[in-house]
Amino acid sequence: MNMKTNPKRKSDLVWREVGGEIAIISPDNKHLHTLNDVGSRIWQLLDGENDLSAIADIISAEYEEEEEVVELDLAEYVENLRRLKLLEG
Amino acid sequence: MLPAIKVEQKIEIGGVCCSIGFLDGFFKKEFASIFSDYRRWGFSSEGNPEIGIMVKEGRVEAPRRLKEYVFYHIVDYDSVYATLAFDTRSFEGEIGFSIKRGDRFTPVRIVELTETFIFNAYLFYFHLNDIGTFVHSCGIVDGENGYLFAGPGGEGKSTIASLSLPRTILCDDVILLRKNDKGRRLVFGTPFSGDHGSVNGGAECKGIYFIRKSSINELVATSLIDGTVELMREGVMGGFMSIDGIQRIYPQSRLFDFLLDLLSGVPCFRMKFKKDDSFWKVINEHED
Repeated sequence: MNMKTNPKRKSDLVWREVGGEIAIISPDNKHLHTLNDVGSRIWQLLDGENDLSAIADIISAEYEEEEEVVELDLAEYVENLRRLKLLEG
Repeated sequence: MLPAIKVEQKIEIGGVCCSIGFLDGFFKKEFASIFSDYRRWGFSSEGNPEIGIMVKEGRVEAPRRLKEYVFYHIVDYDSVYATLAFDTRSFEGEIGFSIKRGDRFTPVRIVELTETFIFNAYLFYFHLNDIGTFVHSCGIVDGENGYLFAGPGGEGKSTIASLSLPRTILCDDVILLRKNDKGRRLVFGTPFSGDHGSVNGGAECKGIYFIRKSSINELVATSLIDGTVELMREGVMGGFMSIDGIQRIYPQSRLFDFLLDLLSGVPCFRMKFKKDDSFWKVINEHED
């Protein structure tokens, strides 16, 4: 995956954050997705302003993980979000 | 919306009264046994109705102009057609039946659809007033404390009820979880019963348990958001409320926000339980 892309969460999605966890109601209103701690942090960063490389930097620093590992996990995670139709484009 | 009708029966669930009329006596006799159960379990009421339902033969006409707050639906169910309309502002509605063919199941179908309509009328009332929701669950009262055990079919709601005797079983299939005027969260029995009958009573909710049968007892606290998601999955939003058209009246996002509020302050757990009453010891120890 190109780490210079700027994925953005869909603007018409309904999502709520409580106690550091995020729940997203799917666009078809029939599914609920819950994100764990790190997933929630990535979701917050998917605002279209940050490219994947910048997000990987932030996650790597905040969670004290090697950047190469974070980049691989992040690419897979974003691909999953895209498959669930939670991202623009 | 409705013409003046003679009130035939009044019931009460969670402190809210509903009148049910039978136009020209249609199906009143066949429904008598259902009301007999409701009376026996204490759900008859002499209160002032906040919900009104009329049952009649024939078709309920569609509203002349589409009104966003009027829910109109047609059901083709085995040997009957049902048309129904419910005004979600006045909480009044009608259900009309056209019989395609009369067979021994026809009365059963009419009873099922009428009960579903009553249930959904209450569901509209509790949700649109931000009061409460029905949960596919078993409700138990132990002393002054209420407990709600939620789970899909086959995961042990009736088993929990059987193992909890001689505690009071409110209902082993559908429980009302609601707020009262003081903001307390209460569990109430409903007449939409499973195997153990029902009790029209309530108690303060001390915990919600999402159950799974197991060879061990285990209690794991869930976060508020996990509890809310579980409740949305196990909660009773079936029947008419699950159809797409309902989104314009009561969108999922509003439901989610409401459930977040309803569960605030109520401990939620995932509970594995053995097939004996020892899970109560685990629950009580956790409370201490």
